[in-house]
Amino acid sequence: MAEPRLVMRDVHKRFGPTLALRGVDLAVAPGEVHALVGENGAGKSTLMKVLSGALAPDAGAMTLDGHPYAPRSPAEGRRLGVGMIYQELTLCPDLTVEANVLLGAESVTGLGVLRGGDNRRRVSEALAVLDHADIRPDAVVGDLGPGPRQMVEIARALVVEVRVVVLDEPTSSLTQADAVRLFGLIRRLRDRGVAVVYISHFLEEVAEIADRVTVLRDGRAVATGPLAEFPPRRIVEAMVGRALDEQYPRVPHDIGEPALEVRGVATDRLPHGLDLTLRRGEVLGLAGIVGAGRTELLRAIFALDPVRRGEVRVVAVSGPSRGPADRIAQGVGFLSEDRKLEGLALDLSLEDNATLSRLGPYQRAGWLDLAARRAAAREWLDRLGMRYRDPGQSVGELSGGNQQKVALARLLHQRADVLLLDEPTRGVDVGSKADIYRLVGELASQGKAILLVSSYLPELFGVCDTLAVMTRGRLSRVRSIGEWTSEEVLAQATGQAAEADA
Amino acid sequence: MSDDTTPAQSRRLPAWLTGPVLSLVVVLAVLCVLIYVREGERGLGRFLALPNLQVIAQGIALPGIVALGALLVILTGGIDLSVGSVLALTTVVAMLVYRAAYPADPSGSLPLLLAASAGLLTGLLSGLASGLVITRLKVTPFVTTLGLMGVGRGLAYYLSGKKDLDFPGDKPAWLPALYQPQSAFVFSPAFWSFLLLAGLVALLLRYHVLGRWCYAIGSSEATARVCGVPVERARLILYALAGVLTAWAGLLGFAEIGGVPSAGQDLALDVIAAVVIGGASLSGGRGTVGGTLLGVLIVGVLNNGVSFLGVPVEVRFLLVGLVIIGSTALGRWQARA
Repeated sequence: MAEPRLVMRDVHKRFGPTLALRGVDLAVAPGEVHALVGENGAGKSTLMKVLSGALAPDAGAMTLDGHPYAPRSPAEGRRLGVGMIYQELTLCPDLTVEANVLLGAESVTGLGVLRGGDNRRRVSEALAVLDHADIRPDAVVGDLGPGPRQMVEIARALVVEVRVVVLDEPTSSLTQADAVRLFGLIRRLRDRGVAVVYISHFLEEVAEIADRVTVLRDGRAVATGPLAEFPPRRIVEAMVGRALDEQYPRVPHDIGEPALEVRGVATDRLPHGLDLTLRRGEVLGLAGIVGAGRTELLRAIFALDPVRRGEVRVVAVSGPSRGPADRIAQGVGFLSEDRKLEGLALDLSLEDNATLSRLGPYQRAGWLDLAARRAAAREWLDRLGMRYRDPGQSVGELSGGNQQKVALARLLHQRADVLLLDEPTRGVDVGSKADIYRLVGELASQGKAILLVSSYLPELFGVCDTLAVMTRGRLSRVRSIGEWTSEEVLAQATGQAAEADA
Repeated sequence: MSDDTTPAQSRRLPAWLTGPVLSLVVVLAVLCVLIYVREGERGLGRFLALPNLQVIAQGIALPGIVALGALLVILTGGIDLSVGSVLALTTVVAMLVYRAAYPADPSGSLPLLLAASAGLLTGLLSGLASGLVITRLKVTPFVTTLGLMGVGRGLAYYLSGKKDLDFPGDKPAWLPALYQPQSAFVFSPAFWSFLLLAGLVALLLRYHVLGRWCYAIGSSEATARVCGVPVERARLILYALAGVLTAWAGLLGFAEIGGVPSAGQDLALDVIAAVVIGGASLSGGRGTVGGTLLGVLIVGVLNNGVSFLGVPVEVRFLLVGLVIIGSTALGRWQARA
């Protein structure tokens, strides 16, 4: 290994009684993509914060190109050449691309006046390095799609002389096509001698992009080495600390009668009429790139967005629907892709969140029987194998995986027969993912119908019985999962397939 | 990805302008028609003639200057409810200093200089006080400035002995010239100082790093923090600036009416109304000086037109309320279209 660019030695960090990091060693060479993997709670985000300068380690040392590196703030870390790209995009939607890229690193005169030309040049240079000269510096970031937004985020790391780039789950909000472009970019950065730290849950990505891997577990680096020595299975086992039985546990189930029929449905954002039949006991996957209209379709089915033409029919009950409340009464459950904004009320308790969509059983003239509600909530949470302190604790305290289980508990508690799941494993750790897959299978075996939107192909192939691909608001034919290959799905999703079967 | 990248480009007017511009046109048109119907052609002529425009200009100078500070604060996602009290306190402090120094120099020049300095210092200190409470004690801007509103008003009454304080002896002769229209400049120097300050604030927001930070904090504070923006320091400076702007308005009031502890009772709401009518978002990140100027102008024209029509004051409140809602709805509607 070449002279390392970034070294962390025996880094410790404690929060109250919790040891978030207990002796992490990490060495990243220039021109190397170093994957950092670990379950949620393994200490990745704490490590990120220590690297960025947002947190100071309690013990241990870091060096950058041989010099001591102890940033006291993210601004200082960035000045020293450590650029961070966060999972939750950290952009100001009201500001222009240029203002976002420069934020905190503006070139100014002694009086604080912005140097217009100098700043503009730096921004266009950064965008050019990204091969994205097409993003206009004066465009307002709120008007951009997720792909370009990610590029703006990365450009921000590049406007300073960057020596280390840390990417945290950079593809979690990206489509396959944007992810491919991102990988191209990471390789270019690597070839320019930048040290890249790549944090991801997606082991396929790690296998594709990384040169070396370090696995974090319980605040320690438990394994590290060249990628060649780490097949995905070994990485997963190091992450969970035990041999893993199955990544996609299958529960046998049979497909039955139609449960939901979508006939010629069009909305404001989905102009083409769509047809779809979802059967009891079926797990139907919807693949496609972000923006293809999958979420819009789910929202139309759930009556969150108005249906302009056509009809959505919940077969068991029939009858129209004026809004989500009617749909819930008809046995339809919706899991939003945006857990923080729409899926859960983070400040509310587990029991509040789990029971919010069906409070009927616990109320008399509007007064709630809290004890009964707590008992019911506890039952569902336990049935999902959740670990929690108290049903009254707020959901925001939980890890992503456990938060998602609370959202799923709500669908179960409301007795949904048709489940619309939008990216159910986004931001969820490996262990919880397997739990969620198993749950989906169990629900199907109970005769529930499941429509699953995912941008993660292995998951679709691992879990679904049938699959359809959405491309620019049009839906392909639904075919049994065995009749699809990943290449076909990708070609269809990116609109390169012949549209004969549309 | 191609359909993601295309930014919305087809807008004729930026959304923040459509609401205010349309509102101004509607307000003006409605007032003109009403005045024409009630007062005839001559009445309408008087309404649109220079003397009345000078009255309007003088009416908006003071709230306009305060609104510039309010804009800075609102852009960060904050709010300042204490401006009326700070303005009153400024007039009182300035007058007390003036009176104390008057015996030494009855010409009034030195006392005025001292009074102005003390007034500006009052505004600066109260701005710093809100800024420090907000950034250090982590009290929300609403609560902080609500509290400061009471403190400021209380101080103003206490210091003034619950009386309006008049100038001792004769006012310096040039003082009234500040707030009276000057034939050489058409409008009063007070009004021109408002426009000058508006220009400075606009430059600050556009070309100074503090302006960038201001928008960034309001748009996404977490992002600003991650990017190393000194969020606390920026906030403190912005509140202090807003305090100084309010104090300047207070000094103009002092020149006209002396030390009045009850001044500016409804100022905060009027000013916030103007900023919001001007297209700014109370959650921060969106708003411009141009929009605020329009907002101030709309409220000013409305007030003037209504009093021109001889309509009772309650109708004025009602109309301003409707315009706030109407112009915001217009902006929303435009953003959707």
